[in-house]
Amino acid sequence: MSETVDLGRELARGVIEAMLFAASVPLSVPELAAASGLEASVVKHVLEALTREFGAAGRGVRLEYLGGGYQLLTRPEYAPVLEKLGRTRTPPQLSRAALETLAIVAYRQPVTRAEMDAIRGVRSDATIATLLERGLICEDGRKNVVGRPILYATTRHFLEQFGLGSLDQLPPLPEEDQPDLV
Amino acid sequence: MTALSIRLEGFEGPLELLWHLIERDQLDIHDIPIAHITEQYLQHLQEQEWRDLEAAGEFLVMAAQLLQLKLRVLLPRPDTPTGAGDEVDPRQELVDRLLTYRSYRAAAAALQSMALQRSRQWERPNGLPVVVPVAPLGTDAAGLRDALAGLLARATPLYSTITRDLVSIGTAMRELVSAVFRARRQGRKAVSLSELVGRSGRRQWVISFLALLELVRRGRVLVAQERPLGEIYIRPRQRAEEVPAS
Repeated sequence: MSETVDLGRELARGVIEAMLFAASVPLSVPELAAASGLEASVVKHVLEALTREFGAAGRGVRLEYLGGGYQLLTRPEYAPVLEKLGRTRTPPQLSRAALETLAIVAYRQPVTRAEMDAIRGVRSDATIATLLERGLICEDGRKNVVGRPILYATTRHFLEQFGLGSLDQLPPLPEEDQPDLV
Repeated sequence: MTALSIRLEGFEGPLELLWHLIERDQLDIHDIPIAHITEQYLQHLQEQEWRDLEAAGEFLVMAAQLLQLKLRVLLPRPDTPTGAGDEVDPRQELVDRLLTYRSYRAAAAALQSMALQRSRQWERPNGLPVVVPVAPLGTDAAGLRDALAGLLARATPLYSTITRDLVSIGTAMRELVSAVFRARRQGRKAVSLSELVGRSGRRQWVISFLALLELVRRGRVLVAQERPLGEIYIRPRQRAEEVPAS
């Protein structure tokens, strides 16, 4: 990398904030560090400070952690106002079948098509193709069993679209594997 | 007549249909009345018209499994004493599948509301690309126009007019004769062909040479050449009748 720019804390904060403002996608700590020449530890420190600052009452935007990166987003409570400006946003339009398949991939990844079929009780080829095309899932190697079937996993784009910082933030699977059976 | 397929009816698959029946009839998932649900399931299938054979197959496989299950529940196995504690409920596998399916269906609904929530937050559209900077154009509209004009000027046109060289042999003959006589008036005995044609192109050389040959044939000039491929010297014939106009 280029020479490390020795900026004061104030300047470091300004640089990070400028990048977050200009970007239309979440920026990861390595991306922010590489572009600014700042140490990753400094970047993280600044991000924490900015998160606190934007989290304060009376701010219109918030620093969100999405798909392994940081991004400035408007607060959800201002959605009705922004819609009056003509800025409509549609959530990803997915059929129930596609959402079911996506849920299985999200919680069981990496997972094969046969495993999805077994859980849903129907073939999932078409919905898998849709999810691949939408960039929500991707192929993730092959399972080491007979036939070496393709394994599927969710993408960074999936995390961004569903407001998740990482897979750890998925809510627990409802009533997972029925431990309450008599 | 109903032409609806089971998919159009809204059931993605046999598990979803079973859940629909369980909830509709308020059945206990942990104590499913197999005979009842099998009957309801089959009745539902009979009311359908099947268009999608693959989907039909999936529903029919479940129907077969239900019938088999019904038999196992109704007919106690002869070799096991009834009420033995270690006997696994034959319905267990189906119950597990239904519960697993339901938990993912709930997860799917949760994902949908998460996406909806996310869609209520806006990001800045198309900010500066941070990682890959775009090289500046370094020009304005006028610059673009000039660049296009230059490009068009250099471009090979689809149609063009080829102008034919209009110097004819006759013209060349007249020029040669006048040049030769002019040289004699200046006191020179002869002029070389290269002096007359000079640095003109290949075409002019050929025309001039043909003109010279024609003048020789008509007896207007005499030529001399010291050696093959050497310089050609031209002088007028001594007994030229007419004096060309200069």
